[in-house]
Amino acid sequence: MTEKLVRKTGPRHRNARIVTDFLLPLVATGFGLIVIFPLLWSFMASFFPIGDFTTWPPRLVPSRIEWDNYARAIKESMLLRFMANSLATAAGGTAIRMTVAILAAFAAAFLSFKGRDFLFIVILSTMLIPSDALLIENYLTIQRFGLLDTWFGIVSIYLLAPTQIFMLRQVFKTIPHEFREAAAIDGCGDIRFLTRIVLPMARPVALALTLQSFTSIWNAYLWPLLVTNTARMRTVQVGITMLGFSESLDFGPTFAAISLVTAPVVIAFMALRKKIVEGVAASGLVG
Amino acid sequence: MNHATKCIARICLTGCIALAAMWSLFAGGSKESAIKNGPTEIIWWHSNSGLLGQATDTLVQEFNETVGAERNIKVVPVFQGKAADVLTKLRAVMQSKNPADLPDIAQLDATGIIDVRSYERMIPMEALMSEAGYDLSQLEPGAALSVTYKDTMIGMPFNSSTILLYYNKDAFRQAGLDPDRPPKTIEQMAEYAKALIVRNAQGKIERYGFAGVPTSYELCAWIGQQHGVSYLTDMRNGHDGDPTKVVFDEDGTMEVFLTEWKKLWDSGGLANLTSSVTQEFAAGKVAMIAASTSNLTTLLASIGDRFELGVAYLPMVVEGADSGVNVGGGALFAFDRGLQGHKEAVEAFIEFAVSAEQQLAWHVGTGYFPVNLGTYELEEFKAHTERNPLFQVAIDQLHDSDPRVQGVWIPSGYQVYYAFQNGIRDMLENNKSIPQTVQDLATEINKYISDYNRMNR
Repeated sequence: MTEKLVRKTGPRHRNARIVTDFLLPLVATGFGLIVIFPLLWSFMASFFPIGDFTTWPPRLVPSRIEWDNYARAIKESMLLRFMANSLATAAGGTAIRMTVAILAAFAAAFLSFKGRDFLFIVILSTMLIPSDALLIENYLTIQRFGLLDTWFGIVSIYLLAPTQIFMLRQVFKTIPHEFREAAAIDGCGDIRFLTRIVLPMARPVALALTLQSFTSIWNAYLWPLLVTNTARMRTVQVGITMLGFSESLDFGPTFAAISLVTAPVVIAFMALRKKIVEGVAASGLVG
Repeated sequence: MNHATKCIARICLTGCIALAAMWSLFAGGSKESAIKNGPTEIIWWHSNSGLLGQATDTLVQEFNETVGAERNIKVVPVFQGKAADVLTKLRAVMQSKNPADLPDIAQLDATGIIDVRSYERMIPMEALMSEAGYDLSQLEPGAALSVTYKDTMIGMPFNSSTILLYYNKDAFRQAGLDPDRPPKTIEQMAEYAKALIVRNAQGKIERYGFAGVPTSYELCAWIGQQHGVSYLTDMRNGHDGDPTKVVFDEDGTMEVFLTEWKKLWDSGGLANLTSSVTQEFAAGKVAMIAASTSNLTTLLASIGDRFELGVAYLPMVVEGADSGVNVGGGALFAFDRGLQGHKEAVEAFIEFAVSAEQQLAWHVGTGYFPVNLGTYELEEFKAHTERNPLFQVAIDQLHDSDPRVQGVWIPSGYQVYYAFQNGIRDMLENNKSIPQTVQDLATEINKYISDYNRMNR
């Protein structure tokens, strides 16, 4: 589209060309830098020796590379074990959460049965209750089930995600019912219709939700802390707090841990980013 | 039917993965193992991370290898997040009516004391230790009083600290001040702060004399040290029962403090900084700060050889207000989990943790001061303070203070903390009158207190 636009000449198009070729990338780069700066800086800071954190003016690059920060981050907090816990809960939790959400959204969008909308509203209404208010009650439930100190206990409260269900339902609703009827005539069952037709069409949204789901479980702090009691069941976010303390000025190991912990999320994003963009293009949602 | 097969295969595959995930989730959890004949396991919840975490692990390891091995006790330290998180979790367990889920020992700060002090499963420390014949008089009096509620020591002071004045000796030299004569009163601090200001070519201040806005933390000392001993609230700062009102407005102590503090502000050398105060100080952007003695270890490491650090007694509000500072920090609380033999084991561990030798190691490792008076008699301790004279200042200040000067136990502790900070800032920056500020602070905090009392009747 841009190509066609700029090939035309004339003052108006020249202005448009300045905007698209010059101003737009500049603004985008500016925003990009704002977003990426904290990431880059914490990566840099993960190599700071202790004195570098309190110099004036603040440093951007370390005065010397302090590898010890990484060694200490891993040694002082069982970081690798924590990462395994987080990876397992974030991946496992996301898998179950998305499966539940997709099936529920499918039912809410395509199937018709008694009480469907009521059920949907009940699920949605759980969004109204702030999760902090449920914290202690949820803890007691998990404790009665004997699920303290288990991965399942950690992910339990994330398995039903009303936002996810709602978003997917809205997307599914945009798919005309005629598709389903046509598919049914050709002998395509519901599951196959869901996996072969609906999901590919809703791919960008589904992928974005998957990513968001993974990140939110990966980033959870208070709940995993509450339902685990032994060091070996802790997740990374809890692990990071083990490295610093309120009076400390030695943030090196903390930033080293943050760099290690952010990596999987950044990688997950980079892996899915292309798919999301592809999905947007393929689905014709761009308009 | 190629498509159908593919579809079924895919569903099976997804199902398998989901099942495998579920199974591993369950299997991954370590179920509480059944009753074992091994050692008595004592669970200790704490919030000691970083440097403190290492000192904690060393302490526990030494216990488990010596006294623990002899008496068949194993202490398991569990890091439960920040101090506030330990409390959140403890509150949850306290409501669960399942005492076995309680820790045997929890390390809490002043905010947590409000929650546990009348909890029926909390074992008052004084009773626990006295039953075993432990002599409480070997404890630092100010520290013991800092966890005393209605004349009973309910916890064991453990990570104890006081407030201290930190100053930049190099900045003092530059400003023509004697680096060995730190300010003695707030008024003097105002003079120093003015002299310590450094401006750049545009006239913008590059270095302030002093930074910080007083909160309940600073005020416990600055109010407490007046008229012999004073308190922020009635019930002796809440140590005799739930406070019913503030008293700093009636006895005039707040007015005296604010009058002096205004002088510091009028000197132009005061920055109303509410966060990153120690970082700014270490960066040389501020020449004096008041902070906990527990900052000393990390401040020394962070400053390195950029400038010479000095520490001094917290300046007095006015000449003659010489009752010093209160002991703050955290304490260990014991809980009855309804398990046999645990009480004796907890006593054994706490006795070990606050022994003269262990308190020396804890002091050297963390910067918290020793709570056992016996530590001061140890040769190693004398050698340590000789090498680190700054630590001696902190300890001298503690011993020159009246132990009756105490921290405040007040419900809505966080709101009160910020009420002071915002009120004082408002007075300075918006030029509010001192009596009006005292009045407004009293009204706001009294409201928090009465709201709490009304809801908990």
